[in-house]
Amino acid sequence: MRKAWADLSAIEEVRDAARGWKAAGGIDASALSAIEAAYPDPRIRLHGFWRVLIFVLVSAVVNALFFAMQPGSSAIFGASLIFGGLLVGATEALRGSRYSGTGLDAASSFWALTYLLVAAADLLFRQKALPDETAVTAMIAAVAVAGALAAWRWGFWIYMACAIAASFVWAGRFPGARPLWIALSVFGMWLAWRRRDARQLPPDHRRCLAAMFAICAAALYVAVNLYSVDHRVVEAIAADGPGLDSLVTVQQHAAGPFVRLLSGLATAVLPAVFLAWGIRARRTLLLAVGLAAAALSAVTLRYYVHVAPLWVILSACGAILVGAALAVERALRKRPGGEWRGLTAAPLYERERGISPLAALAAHAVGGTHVSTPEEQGRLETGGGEYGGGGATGRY
Amino acid sequence: MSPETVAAIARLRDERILSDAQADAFGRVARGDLLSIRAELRLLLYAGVLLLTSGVGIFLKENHDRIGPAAIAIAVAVAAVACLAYAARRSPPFSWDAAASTHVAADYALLLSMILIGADLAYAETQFRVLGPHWAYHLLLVSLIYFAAAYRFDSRAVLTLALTSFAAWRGVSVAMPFAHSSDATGGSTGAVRLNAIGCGVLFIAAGALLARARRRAHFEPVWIAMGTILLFAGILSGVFEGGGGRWMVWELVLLVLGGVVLAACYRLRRPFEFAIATAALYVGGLRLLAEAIRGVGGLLLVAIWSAAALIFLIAATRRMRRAG
Repeated sequence: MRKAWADLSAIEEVRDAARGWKAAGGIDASALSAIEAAYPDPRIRLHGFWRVLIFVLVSAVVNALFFAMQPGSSAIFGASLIFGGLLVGATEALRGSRYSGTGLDAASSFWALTYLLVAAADLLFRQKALPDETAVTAMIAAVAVAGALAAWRWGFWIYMACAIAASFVWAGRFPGARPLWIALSVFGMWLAWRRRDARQLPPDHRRCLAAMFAICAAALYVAVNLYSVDHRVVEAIAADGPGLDSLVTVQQHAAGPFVRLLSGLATAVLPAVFLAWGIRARRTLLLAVGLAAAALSAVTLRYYVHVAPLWVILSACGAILVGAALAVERALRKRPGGEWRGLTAAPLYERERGISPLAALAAHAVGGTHVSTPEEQGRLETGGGEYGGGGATGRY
Repeated sequence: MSPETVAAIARLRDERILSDAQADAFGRVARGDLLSIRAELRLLLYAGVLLLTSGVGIFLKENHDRIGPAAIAIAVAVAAVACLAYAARRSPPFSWDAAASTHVAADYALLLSMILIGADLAYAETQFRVLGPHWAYHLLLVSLIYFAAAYRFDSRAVLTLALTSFAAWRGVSVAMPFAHSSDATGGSTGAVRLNAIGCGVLFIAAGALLARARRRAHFEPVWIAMGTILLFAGILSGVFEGGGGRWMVWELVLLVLGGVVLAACYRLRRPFEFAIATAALYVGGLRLLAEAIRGVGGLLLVAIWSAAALIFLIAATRRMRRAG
């Protein structure tokens, strides 16, 4: 990453923090103006919806141009390579410009990678440069390398996440994949954790490291989860493995009892380890990983142990989550200064946001019951569906 | 931890932009010595609400024959009232101005109670057919309850539910813009389209009036955004109508109204609605291009049209920023 881009990334970090201080009433408008003058950012900042729209428009331009060229099947390799190369150049230019972060650079980088990978796929699969299974392995490696290079050069964390995920899939192609996953994930977490606050790294690269940590933690969880062991989820990736069918049609208890015991223990303990680590280190990333792992462990438990009907389990889990959140909030609020071991439930320097309208609509769609029309009387549907009125019918 | 922010705080303190007290407070957070887990608590609450509402939904579906509809309806109503009471106890007193939320769970209890009320009313209507052939009016009732709760508890999320329930009462749906009148829904598409446009105009007018009257003026963006989306969705459903030449009329309507909305949003510095209008004009233009030219030439035109929309958006951004 160029120094100028890294500097802009650092400036953005400071300006974001200052806006948080202002939103929380920690500083006034004049102080915010002084900070913004001290840390000038020439780039254009856009609303999220604008960025999405710009991404879509760039995608339309790029793909319409590509398909307008009508590259025959014999020319796909060359056309994709040229398009990918041009888009790499465009991304290089955009990342250093005032349009960086508007969605233009994200779209151009995404399509650059896509077209370069299409070229690689054409070479490997259509032109049969390698035997089929070797070609699959090489293609996965290409995704990992391209993603890692893009993340290193342009600083998009999503490419790092893809690269690390592809690396694990690549490792899964070889014998002994599960121990390899465990070793690689532990090493990856150690590496990312060590450099998590390195001053020499720009914020964009630190976000890439955070993404790497999260994917490694996810891989570790998948490698030790009991369902994954029983269904040979990791082994299914290998060229000579049981195939994706094993994800649903099990040879249950394929592993020995000792391995299953260890796996069951790890499924239960790993979420707690991540949560405890997150509390001790005061890291939201670890807390999020721990919560996600806990949710997956609960689903695993439900898969193996049917203690009650599904609606009871869902309602009970919902009540436990709400109760736990309220208990933690109350406990923190009652501590001196409203904090415990550096954790607080107060919003600090972030603007307090209500529930987003989209989240409310999603919850409504999940839980809503709709009225069946007279023709379908007696049939009850939940979770959204048909409705009608005013001489109209539709779906919500 | 953010090393850049830590260094910046030291510099800003030296330059007397931040006081010592401010620098100390901000520095603790930037160094990672103090961490807020409020977002995580909110996430837990939201997940809890999702799970609870899913559980209730499955319960209603699986048990209504066994337990009996009256008992189920009463049980869900009791749960909804309990959640509402919890939210009421922890919410600030009513005011027409924006009120800061005093409790992290109040919003979620309110959302849960509203979803339960909506589900319960729908369930009761399905089972008892109180409204008979006018059963769709239960959506209006739900919408009115949501409106009342949104204004009492100062909740934009519940206001969104109220607006969507109101639009649903008029038959408006998410899939509408691209539904064809030749579909199974047939001739009703035209009526739904007019309802969507009517709802859009109504919401925009109501939002503007309520803001002018200083009645929850901070709700105005929700009203206007929903109104703009419905308005353009209705018009686009006309543009994407099947055969015949009527779509050209809608194309003209889109062009005129889109231009008016763009000009108004530019003047009023409303980037979100500006982007919605741009997106609607762009999509409407694609229909025109599809009719005009097909094949390779069409693709080139799509590329040029998309590039033009892109340049327009970026130029508008720069001008809006410059104008302040």
